[in-house]
Amino acid sequence: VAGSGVAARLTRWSPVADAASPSHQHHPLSPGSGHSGFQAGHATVDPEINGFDPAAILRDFDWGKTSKLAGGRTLREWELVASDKTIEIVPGVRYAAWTYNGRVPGPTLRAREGDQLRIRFINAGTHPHTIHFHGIHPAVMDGTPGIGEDAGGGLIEVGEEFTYEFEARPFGLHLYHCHASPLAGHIAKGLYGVFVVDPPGGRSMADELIMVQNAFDPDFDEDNEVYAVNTVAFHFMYRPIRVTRGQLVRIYLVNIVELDPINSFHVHGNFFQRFPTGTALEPTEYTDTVIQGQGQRDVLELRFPYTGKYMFHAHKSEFAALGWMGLFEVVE
Amino acid sequence: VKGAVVALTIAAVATACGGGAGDGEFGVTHATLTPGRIVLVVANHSKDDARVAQVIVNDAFVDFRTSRNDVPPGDIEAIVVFYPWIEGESYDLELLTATGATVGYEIEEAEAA
Repeated sequence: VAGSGVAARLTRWSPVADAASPSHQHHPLSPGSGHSGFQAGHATVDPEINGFDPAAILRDFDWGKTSKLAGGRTLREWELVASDKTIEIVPGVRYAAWTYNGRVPGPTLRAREGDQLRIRFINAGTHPHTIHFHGIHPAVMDGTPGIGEDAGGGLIEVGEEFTYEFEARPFGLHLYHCHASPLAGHIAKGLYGVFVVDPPGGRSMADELIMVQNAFDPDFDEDNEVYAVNTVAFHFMYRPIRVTRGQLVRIYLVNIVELDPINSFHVHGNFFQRFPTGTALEPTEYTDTVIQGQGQRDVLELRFPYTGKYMFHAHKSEFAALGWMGLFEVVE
Repeated sequence: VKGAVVALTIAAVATACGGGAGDGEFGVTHATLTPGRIVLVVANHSKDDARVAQVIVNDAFVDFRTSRNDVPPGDIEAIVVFYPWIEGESYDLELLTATGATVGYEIEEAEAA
């Protein structure tokens, strides 16, 4: 065998990772490439360690504190706090994340088109941050460094705060993220979340799921080592997403992966209707695989006609084998 | 039986190999291949305990075993990686530690021991 190695200098690990690691035997995850070799096991991150649960994030929609403005419009208010937090992204491996409200992704904010939105942002982290919302709004509310500082916006320094206020439009599937420099670093550390604006008449009843495709570069070599949906690698292989046979399932799929130009989503044993960015009510494609660039979003709708377990994963096999795979479990 | 074989393999390889990582570092010193397995010997020349939390082979997480989780400073340990390697092919291995640091090792041409 001809071999060569690269050694590493280490820093101490945290008791968090220490407590989570199984002793001696590791069934991490999926031997071999792709998803065909996955072994059933027990190794996923305990949600208690991170203080958030990837499964709970699926169906956690925050409509904000709601009130009525003069004239009858709805006002929705939230408070988002940026802070540093060590999280576990794959069993035994910790990551020094930056979070909105202590979770990655941040809270899923939801409104209806035309609502007035007010988001109080407090920077309790150790670096300047912003919140940049995708959508249509005035420049001062854009969360871009260098724009809006005169009004207290732009780059929000450590210990400072700013309130973003704008109308929810257009309807669709959007996101928010920090726009401070270096941009890739601030996003990759975890400062992002989903922003859903419903059509004025709402959408049809469905089992709605937030799926944020994300990735992490824990050794900071500009190459991601861990991929996931909702932050924890392979979580949904061990905790399949349970859905009901015949029921409409609506997936809000967002790609926020940095360092890789594209990502993808593929579902086994089924096809879905694709609504790019969710800004129209007519689908554009009936398929089983969708490709997304950085920041791209799609609303996907499908029904499972049969019970059983069906995989979903990135069809970039490297991403799948590094954590971006899961299961739907279809029940009666 | 599998566990016993693995334990014996780890003990034999760890006894036979010395440390090879540089001063102050944690690294892989040697790899031995048997059908379906890659046995890595790691040496810890850093001043802190080292823990390998995950193993990646050719951009895929893989199953592995060790006789203990922590490698104390100045000590060595063997890691048995279960992987269907192919004769003559090359493999990039990464040991992902608890801190997120990675230790790389390249097998340029796989060959059975």
